[in-house]
Amino acid sequence: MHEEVGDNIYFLVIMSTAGTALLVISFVILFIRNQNKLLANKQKLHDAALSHQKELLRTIIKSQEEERKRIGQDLHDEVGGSLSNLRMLMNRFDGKNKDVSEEQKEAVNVYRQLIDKIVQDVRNISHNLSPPGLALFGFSEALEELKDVVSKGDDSFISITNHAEAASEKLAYPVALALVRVLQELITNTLKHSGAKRIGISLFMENEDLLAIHYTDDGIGYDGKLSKKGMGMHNIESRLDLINSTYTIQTAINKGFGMFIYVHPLAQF
Amino acid sequence: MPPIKYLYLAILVPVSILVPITIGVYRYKNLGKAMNTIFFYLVLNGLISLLVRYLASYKMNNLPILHVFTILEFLCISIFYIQTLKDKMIKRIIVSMMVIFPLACVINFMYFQDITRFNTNTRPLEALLVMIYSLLYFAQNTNDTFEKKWEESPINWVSSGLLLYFSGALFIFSFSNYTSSDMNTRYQQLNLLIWNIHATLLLIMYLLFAKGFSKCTKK
Repeated sequence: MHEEVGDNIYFLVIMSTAGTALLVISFVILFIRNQNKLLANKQKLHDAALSHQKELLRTIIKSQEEERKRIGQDLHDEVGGSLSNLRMLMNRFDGKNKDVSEEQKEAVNVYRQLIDKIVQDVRNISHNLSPPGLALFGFSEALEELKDVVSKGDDSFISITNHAEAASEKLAYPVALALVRVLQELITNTLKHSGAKRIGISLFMENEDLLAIHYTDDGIGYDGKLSKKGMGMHNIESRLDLINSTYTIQTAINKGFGMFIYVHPLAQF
Repeated sequence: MPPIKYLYLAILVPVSILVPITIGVYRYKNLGKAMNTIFFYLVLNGLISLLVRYLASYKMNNLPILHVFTILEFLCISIFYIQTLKDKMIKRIIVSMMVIFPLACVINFMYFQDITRFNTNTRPLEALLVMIYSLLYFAQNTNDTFEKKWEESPINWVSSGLLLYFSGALFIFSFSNYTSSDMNTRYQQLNLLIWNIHATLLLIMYLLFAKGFSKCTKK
């Protein structure tokens, strides 16, 4: 090796290695950037599809609620009204009317009871279709209504405690409606499948800014891992997703069923 | 104890292999097949460098080990890429390479290069093949089948480490006989420099492997 070239040899070695390393490192970095950008795009598309789906679901639920409200009102006003009229007419055949025989009076009594039952049923159905207390008096009132319909006079069957009155009254109407629907669905599940003797619903504040609803029953429960979700559970999930609430389910065979629902009191539908 | 100028080369970098190995042990249950192969490769690497150090301390020529190690290293990395790459054709080619390359190594040290000198024919060839494997892996990831961020996949880190090390060390492997043959002072210093560069590349590869192991979490 010549002296004058030898002076530079370290520099050359370092430069050529650095050059190779630079190529490789920049290749890898460019690759990472490109891949992550593609991934972000993919994620964006996915999110858009998801939010579109959510929007569809929201529209479906909204129109479903409107329809229910209309049917409920019609049922209440039209059918309920006609039945009330019918009952008034029946009063003509009461005790004071001498043209009516005892037998007929008894029959009229039976009819009247039957009409009363139908009126009550129509009322329950129409309230179920669109809880009137919710719009007029708020969430707690709607819960009480729910309790009345379900317990049918047996107060020990369902107990509701509300330690978060202020927050629950602040709920936006669609959010409150969604929660009422979820509770309805849960109660239906309990009645249908669990054989429970008691249902407990309690509301309280979690961490100051989250409204928590705890639903429990003492029924037969189910194996959370094995059971397939039914329509009811799917309805509950999609309703809760739409109001951005989180929830956890605790259940096991013969251990009852419990569900915690957390929702922000100022959440929007 | 080696003199201070060899401290980095002979102690620090070889010991740094314990970083990825420790993380690998810690994450052993979550490694998965391919990373398991890399873990095995690292352990092999560590054992060989202990053996090399041992022979060197008795002033014995340790270069025959390099000839054997080249074969083992190539086999490990080939298995790693068979487990990683998806294309069946490429896998078949790698399998045939796993037969051809060791044969070439044996023929090389039997007929062409003395086993007591650097295997400058086969080691750069190995480096080239590994670079090709690594680039094939990158090419596989250009179609958008990936589901997670680049940083989250341990294989990505390992592949980058291999690519960086083998492309950087390609020159070093090629010229190792030249730089170590003549023991005058200037050559000795040059030799020290390039082996220090080699050690640095090795260190970076170990650290990238370590990062890869740290990404082996439960799915």
